[in-house]
Amino acid sequence: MSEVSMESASFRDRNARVFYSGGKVYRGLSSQALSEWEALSGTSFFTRFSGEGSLVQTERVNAEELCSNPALASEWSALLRHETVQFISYPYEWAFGMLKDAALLQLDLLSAALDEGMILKDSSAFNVQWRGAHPVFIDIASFEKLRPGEPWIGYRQFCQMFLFPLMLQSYKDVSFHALLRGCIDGIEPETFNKLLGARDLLRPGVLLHVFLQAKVQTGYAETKKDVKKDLKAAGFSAELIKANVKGLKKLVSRLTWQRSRSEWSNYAKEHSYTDVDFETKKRFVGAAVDSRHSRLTWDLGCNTGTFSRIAAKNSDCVVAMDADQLAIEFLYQELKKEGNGTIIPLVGNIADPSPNLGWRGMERKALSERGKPDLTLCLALIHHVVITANIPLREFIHWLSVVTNSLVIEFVTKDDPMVKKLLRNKVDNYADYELPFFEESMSEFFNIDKREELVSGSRILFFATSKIQ
Amino acid sequence: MTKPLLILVCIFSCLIFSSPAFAYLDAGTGSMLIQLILGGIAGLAVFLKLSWKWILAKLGINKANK
Repeated sequence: MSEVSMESASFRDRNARVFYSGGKVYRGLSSQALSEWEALSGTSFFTRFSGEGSLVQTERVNAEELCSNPALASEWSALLRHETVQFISYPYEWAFGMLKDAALLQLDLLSAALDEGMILKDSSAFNVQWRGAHPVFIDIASFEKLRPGEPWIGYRQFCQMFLFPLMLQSYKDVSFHALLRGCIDGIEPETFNKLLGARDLLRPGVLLHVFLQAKVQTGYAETKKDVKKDLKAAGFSAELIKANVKGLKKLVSRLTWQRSRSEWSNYAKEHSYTDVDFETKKRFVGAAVDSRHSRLTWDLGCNTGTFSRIAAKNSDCVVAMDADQLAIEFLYQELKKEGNGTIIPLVGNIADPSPNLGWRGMERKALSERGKPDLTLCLALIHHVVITANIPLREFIHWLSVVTNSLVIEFVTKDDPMVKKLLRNKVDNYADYELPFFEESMSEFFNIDKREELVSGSRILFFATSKIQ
Repeated sequence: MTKPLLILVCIFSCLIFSSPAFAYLDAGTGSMLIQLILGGIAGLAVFLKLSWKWILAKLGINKANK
């Protein structure tokens, strides 16, 4: 086995840890975790969910592979090898529908596990990743044998990381993204209860899951009682967990986000291109995509995903990002219907991309540290970055040259109606936002392979390769 | 009929037992207890049994010692 690097987010579970070697993903198991794995791999739900692609593909690797690395051999009793997730994303980057589907997958797995005498010991939303628009549960070590009389320990975490964020967006039309990015463990019942008003008590699930949980939690915060032991003695059984999970499934299924009109969501219909320009742009992007295979492609400001789909024809994985979560929600629902396994739609503002978070600032990684894209599409975005977000043009081009190997970028001049709209009520302090300076900056950091001006004259496309390789 | 009753029982018990606590919060005692209410009818029996045990303990009557 070649050199080993530990996964910086995999440290909470003392019985199992993820690491990488030779480009593959492994999980070391303690003797206890091995016993849980043996129980899990013998269940019918494991076979069923793995077959559907909802559980990460996993196989036990034989002892010889483990013994070739003596340090690992002494630390772990067994070794699993997992399918590689092409791009790691986080709940604070998902659309409402994605968090909802991830929650339902978690509940489906828990329900199936309970039927076969097992349980999920935690409910972290980070345990779900995406194969295109398909959720995949990746933390195999979360499954353990059900201990009779014990409550569902992951219930509180399920509320904090799934139920409350979904309720917040569904009931209050407040986006959950900032809160989940700010609180790595999710929204606590006590906090969420304070965010809701008396009228919200009438909404489904609020009285029990939010109000009462917060009150009982506060009331028993200093109890000296061994609640777990007392519950067992009083006859707590798996039937109670099953009833709770059934109720949660019903509750989560009914949560919807009342969509409001956003600036961006009608952009595809309202954009200022002529049909000729749009076709030219598709052809230009298509040619760039065809010119070389891409393992990972970013489509920044993807809107409805037209160009993500073109990129997907020659990419293993396309990460389609937009700051407008409504656009991402629509894109996700479409991709889900199609069963798309290549394009991962994510909510993200490139002027404020996801940072490093958590323990040592390494538990959840910044966007730019989750794999360098071979190709990045940056179409009709630069005016938002420079004029709306006030990021200096040269700095943006430099950043792009660092994060990507090649780039398709569209420059939108000040004569374009969309740029005029942005500048309408602003003082034009953007001397750097001119085509000659843009081309100068591009030439500084990129080798320009191709340049094409659209018929309208206010948009110019560039295909370029970064000088920083 | 049973669900509103369960809710009332729980709110009532919550008011009786709870007192504001701003100290160190434990890992989720409340979240474990609330599962009795969320467990439906089966949970009610366990809830009553547990409440009875705790009431006896509060009154200094410990069945186990008798």
